Amino acid sequence: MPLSYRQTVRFCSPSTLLIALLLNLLTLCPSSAGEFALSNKVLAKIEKQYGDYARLRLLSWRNLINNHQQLDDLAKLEKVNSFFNSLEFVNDIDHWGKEDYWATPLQMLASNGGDCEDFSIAKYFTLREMGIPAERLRLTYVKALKLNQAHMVLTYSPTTESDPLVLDNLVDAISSASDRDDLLPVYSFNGSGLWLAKARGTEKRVGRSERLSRWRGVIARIDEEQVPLSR
Amino acid sequence: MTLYRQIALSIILLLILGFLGTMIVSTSNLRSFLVTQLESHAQDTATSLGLSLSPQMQAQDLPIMTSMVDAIFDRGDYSNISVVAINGEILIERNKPISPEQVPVWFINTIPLQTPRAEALVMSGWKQAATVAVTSHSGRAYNELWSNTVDTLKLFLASAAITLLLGLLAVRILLRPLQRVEMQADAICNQSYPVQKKLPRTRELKSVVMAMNRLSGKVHTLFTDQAALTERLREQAYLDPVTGLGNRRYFNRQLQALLESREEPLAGTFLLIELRGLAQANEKRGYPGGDQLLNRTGKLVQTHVKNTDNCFTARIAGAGFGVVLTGSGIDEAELLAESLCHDLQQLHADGLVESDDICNIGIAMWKHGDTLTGLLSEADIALRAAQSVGYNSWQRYEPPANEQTEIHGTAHWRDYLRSIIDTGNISLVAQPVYSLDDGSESLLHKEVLLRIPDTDGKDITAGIFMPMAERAGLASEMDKLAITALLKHMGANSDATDYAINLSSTSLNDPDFKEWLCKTLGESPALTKHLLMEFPEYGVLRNTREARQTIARLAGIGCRCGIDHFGRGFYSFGYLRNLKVSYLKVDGSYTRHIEQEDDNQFFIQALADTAHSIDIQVIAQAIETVEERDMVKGLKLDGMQGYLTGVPEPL
Repeated sequence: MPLSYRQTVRFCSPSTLLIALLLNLLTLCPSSAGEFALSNKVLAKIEKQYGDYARLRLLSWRNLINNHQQLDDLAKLEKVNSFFNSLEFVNDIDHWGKEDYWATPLQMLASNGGDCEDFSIAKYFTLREMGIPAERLRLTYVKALKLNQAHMVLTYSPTTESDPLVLDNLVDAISSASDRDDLLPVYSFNGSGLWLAKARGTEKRVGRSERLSRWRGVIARIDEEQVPLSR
Repeated sequence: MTLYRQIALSIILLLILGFLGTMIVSTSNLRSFLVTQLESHAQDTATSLGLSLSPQMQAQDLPIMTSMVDAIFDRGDYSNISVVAINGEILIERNKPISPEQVPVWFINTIPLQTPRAEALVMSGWKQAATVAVTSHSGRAYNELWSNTVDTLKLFLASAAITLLLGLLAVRILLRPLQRVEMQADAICNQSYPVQKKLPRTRELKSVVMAMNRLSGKVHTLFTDQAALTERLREQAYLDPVTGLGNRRYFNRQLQALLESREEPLAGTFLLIELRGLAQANEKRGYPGGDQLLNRTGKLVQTHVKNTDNCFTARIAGAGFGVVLTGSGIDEAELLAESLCHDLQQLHADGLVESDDICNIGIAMWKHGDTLTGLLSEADIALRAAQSVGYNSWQRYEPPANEQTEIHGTAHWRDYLRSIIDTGNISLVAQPVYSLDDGSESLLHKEVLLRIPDTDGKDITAGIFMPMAERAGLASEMDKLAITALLKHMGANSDATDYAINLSSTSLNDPDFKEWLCKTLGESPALTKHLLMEFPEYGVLRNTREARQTIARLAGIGCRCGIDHFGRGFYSFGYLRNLKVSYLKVDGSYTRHIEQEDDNQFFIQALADTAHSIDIQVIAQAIETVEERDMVKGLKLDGMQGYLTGVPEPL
């Protein structure tokens, strides 16, 4: 439960709001098989904890995922990037009362804010759920030169040789990496390096999520929330 | 299989199972742990390397990259580190084969450790330029697994050894009471009744031991109770309660049996004692006074004949006592009468009799074939003669001249027997003893009897000459002769028959004779095991402890023993319990016309039960009619001998 969250209108761009209002009417439609679905239990819980607007945001997110499956990669990137960038940037210590708390996408949306890791993770999982293959996405640790601090962004490359596209919460628009000379790349991880355990043969759920490494922790918590996001 | 072995096997089996189970579980767990460790180790290394290599990749500085890889590879346990470019080209590769030295090859083959391969990206700016792959070396892991296995095995072997030792020790200690119970059971079978004083602490064993103790005590009293019952039955029929001597029935029975005994034609003397002052004592002091007088008289008479074998006393009338001596000469009878007359005068001195007219004694001789009434009348005539002679006197019956038989004194006998011993001029006859078991009717043994020729060449029976031999001190010599002759006969005819031979009571108490006997029997063990020694009841009772030792000694060399003429005297049966004889032969007086005598039947049946409870067979003697045989068979006796089934015949 975040320390401060704003239930007010100041949470998203006009287009997103419009879509949200329209699609509210469609909440009663049952989702077809294969679609991303949020159970009523989850929604009810979020509503109880975070309020009506949180619920609305989640529904918008769900609809975002389900309604744009057929778009091409770039279009999907646009949609997801702008959807999430409408949320506020808040430091963990202010938002959660802890240093370095990595929120799940659900938590981020419900609490209406997050820091750079939260943005990148949320975008990553959403894009994955929308069908973008894991090999094309990278979570990259960078240095933000202007701010002179550590930062994280999500990058997309259709092939390994291509110049990646950067999805950032500092800058609203998507641009190619070569254009972002305000960022210095340090190191990147792909999904298999982080979450896909099938290369190792065995996957054992060990320990509680607080004790795991951050990456594994956030995965564990996603699972605990019972939100069926693909890795 | 013994309990020890069962427990040992169980312990070993359990420990093996335990070991295997523990081995499997711990190996599996350890392996999972090690694999996870190797995994994360490899992944961390890959990530670090990827991170370090990325700037150098961008700078296209392969030598630095190679150096970095070397630094990592050489420092840690890796089986492979490789850097592969996007296009598949291997830029750097390092390998180390897996060959852990301390671990046997079969172990490595049995437990496969999948060493996982971890990968990380090597970036060049924003783009991925290569992949670094790291595989941990499983050598250390194998060492861990192997030493785990070895340590567990050592632990289990040590536990097994200790548990086994302790377990077997505990079983041994716990089972000691059971061993004692076993010994108790054996003892009970051998007619001794020990009780375990120290009870074990284990509850189950404690209750077994207590039950055993109860059993032992019960069986002990069982015999005693039974014996007491049997004795009471006999007393009821045959005991005179006032004097403690046999009653008239007893007297008649015994004497009749002696007179009619066909196997052993006997002869002897009879004293008829009349107590004169009884009526007066009754008048003056009432019945208690009379009883006291009778009692004292009875005791006195008994004391006089206490050391005489082959004699019995009875109260045959209100004031009449009878003493029957078998195989004695007339002089002995006269001596006895003289001493009785003299000692009975004490009664007057003690004030039990008013006047000094105390008693009179009449002596008569008897031999096989005489009638009871005839003998009694002869003794009575002698008694009347004594009365007319005077107070406290005795007289002998003089048969009419033409009936006089030669009366030989002890000296004559001594010389005659001496000559027999020197010449060895004896002969043996045997009478068969048959089993009374349903259907079998087999031969149990043959009883061997001694005969010596008289001056006319006719056979004299042992019943006649043996009492003489005992008085002359030659009984043991005669016994030796007889046994030697029997052994010779047995050696010559090697059939499997058992032979029983009688020992005189003198021999039974003669240490030299017993030494000779044990030595002689010990020399021919094959014959000894077919030999049975019979002792007369009074001989055994003379010194029961001696008899017990002798019987035990003979048993040790394979010779069994039996008791002859059982029940002739009024002796308690208690002595039977520890005697360990194989059988007893009931005195013929009990089985004469037994089909008509209810009291005898009760007594015999009780006797049979008592004897059987301590594994002693009971054999009936002098069975002459089918009725007698059928009755004793019905009373559960084990064997019989008598003219019905076999007369003594020369060996």
